[in-house]
Amino acid sequence: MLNSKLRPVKYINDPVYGGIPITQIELEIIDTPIFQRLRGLKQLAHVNYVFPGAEHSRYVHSLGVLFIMGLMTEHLLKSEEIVEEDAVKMRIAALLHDIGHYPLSHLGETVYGYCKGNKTATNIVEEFGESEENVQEPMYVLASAYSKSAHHEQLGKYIVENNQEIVTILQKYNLDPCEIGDIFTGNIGSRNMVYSQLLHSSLDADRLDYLLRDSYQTGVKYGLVDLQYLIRLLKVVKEKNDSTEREVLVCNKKGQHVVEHFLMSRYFHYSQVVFHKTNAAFEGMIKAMYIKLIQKSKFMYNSLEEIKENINEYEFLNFNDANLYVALKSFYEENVDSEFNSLYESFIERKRSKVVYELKNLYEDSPTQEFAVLKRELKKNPQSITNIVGTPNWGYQVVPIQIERIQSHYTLTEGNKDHEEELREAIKVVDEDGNISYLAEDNLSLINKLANFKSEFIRIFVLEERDKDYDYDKMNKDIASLISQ
Amino acid sequence: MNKIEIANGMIFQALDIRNKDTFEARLVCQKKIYLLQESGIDLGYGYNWYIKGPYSPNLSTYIYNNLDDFMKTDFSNYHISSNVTEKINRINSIEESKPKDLNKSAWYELVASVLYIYKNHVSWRISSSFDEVFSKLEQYKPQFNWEQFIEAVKVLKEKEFITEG
Repeated sequence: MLNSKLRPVKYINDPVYGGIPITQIELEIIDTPIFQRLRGLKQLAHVNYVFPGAEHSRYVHSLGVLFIMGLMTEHLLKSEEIVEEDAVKMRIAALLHDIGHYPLSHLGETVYGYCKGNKTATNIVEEFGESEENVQEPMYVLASAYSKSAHHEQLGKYIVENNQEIVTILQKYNLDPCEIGDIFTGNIGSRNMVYSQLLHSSLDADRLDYLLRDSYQTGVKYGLVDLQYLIRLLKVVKEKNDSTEREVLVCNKKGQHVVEHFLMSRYFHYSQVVFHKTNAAFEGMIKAMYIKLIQKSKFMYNSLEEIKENINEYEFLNFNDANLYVALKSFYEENVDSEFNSLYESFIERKRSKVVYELKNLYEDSPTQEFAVLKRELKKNPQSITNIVGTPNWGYQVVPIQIERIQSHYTLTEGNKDHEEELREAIKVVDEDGNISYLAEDNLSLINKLANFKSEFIRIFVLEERDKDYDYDKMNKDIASLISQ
Repeated sequence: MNKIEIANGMIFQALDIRNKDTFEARLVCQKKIYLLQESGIDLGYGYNWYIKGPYSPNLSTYIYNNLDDFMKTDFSNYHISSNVTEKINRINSIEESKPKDLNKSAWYELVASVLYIYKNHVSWRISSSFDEVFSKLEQYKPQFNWEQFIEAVKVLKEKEFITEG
């Protein structure tokens, strides 16, 4: 008989999967105000400026990840490769994995990450501290900001361990908040590779849902992967190396074409939706405004530390997209920063920044000379771009996309010794004799041929000022000439 | 380079992180940055437990993309503040206490792993007693013995990463 903790008590209708079964503990978590906050966070920030249907929230994505995790754990339970206790934990971790997200999701995460990094840099380098007094970095730095870490997961773990309501519910059902947080942050690491892989690998519940859901919402068709078959391919097996033995999640090799299709779909999803060039330009504008807001203390919280201090406050429930827009508008009305106001007007009127130069590269070993030179100029000599475009109000984006995390020459034995970082991420397959290998190792796999290639592109966009004329053709030619010298 | 990149580049140079091409070098880099973050300089790299101990996938990517550039960059117009320099020196000097039977990367792996288990003992469901920390270390890293563990604890106390016990 099914463990009572796994028995559905309710179904929530979902456009992608139909009814999502919800257990009692999950229902109690979903009903907490802090979980309901996720309704106010758009999954794809402002991708809706390009794909108007992309209005879905972190809330519905979290339910979707729960659904996929439900399918995965049900399949592994039936084959007795995990126990019911594992399934309960993994479902809860899936449901809560985005509980720490920021307004405008990853865009907000980038902004808070940048502000924190900037503060740390000021404490490290003497000259930054001395010359400081809030000398604003140029617009091209703000609009091009990126973050190194996914700290929404760390904030999520903090919430799960410290929000009174979540802790009370988890403890009522004998679940350890710390362990749930460790699973969805990946902190559990190789202590339980199966847990890590189910929520943190190339083929995990999170990625499967966002591929399917984002495709559905945006209307692009890349996400039509064979979900049911993919799930049926999953197996937990023992993987041995020199001194240890551990359980790992693998795919049955007989269906590897379905996995290959999934990886290809994800590649196109990233290149065509998430990193769409119009979206990149809008994100640059919004990032610059958002950073200014935080640095001038004009939004609710100025740092991760401040957010943490407030997670049990009623006000935290308003830490969402809508209140960010209110803050942006209020700062605009203060009329104290003409740069900000110009961006805000473009944002409201949906006047996108002009992408004046784009360079794409698909390479195996190293990028073309031009590509490498442009990358170096952007980092070390941004003034050369400012001179060409005639304003510091520009930004850039460098996006690398790979089919799989590892290269085709990697082997699992090597991985255990030399490339531990890839063990969790890369997809592993098992043949009928029980031999485990990376999918990318198999020279009959399409992924083997593509794994060594990296697709990378650079875009430079100009944040236009009103009533000013720009000679885009000249800018394009001048940048081309700069990098071909 | 923006401020964040300059600060990272200077830290890598000061920690003598100059090579990403061998596994040993990448391992020492991972552990030195882990120790620096534990000393209070938060560079924003999240660490998980992997086969060789605390490991940050984000740092791995960052090193791959930036280290060569950092090594060619002259940061002599800038200076690291004295309190950060003191922490960097502490981490570099851990090498001086290396037992003879361990190489440099294994030593940094041991020191960082002991600190990680100690700091995360709640998540590992153990107390912070050194006996229990060692039993977990032994479970995941049977190559290290009690004497080497004690040397690691000693250096972590000397360098003030562990202040109680």
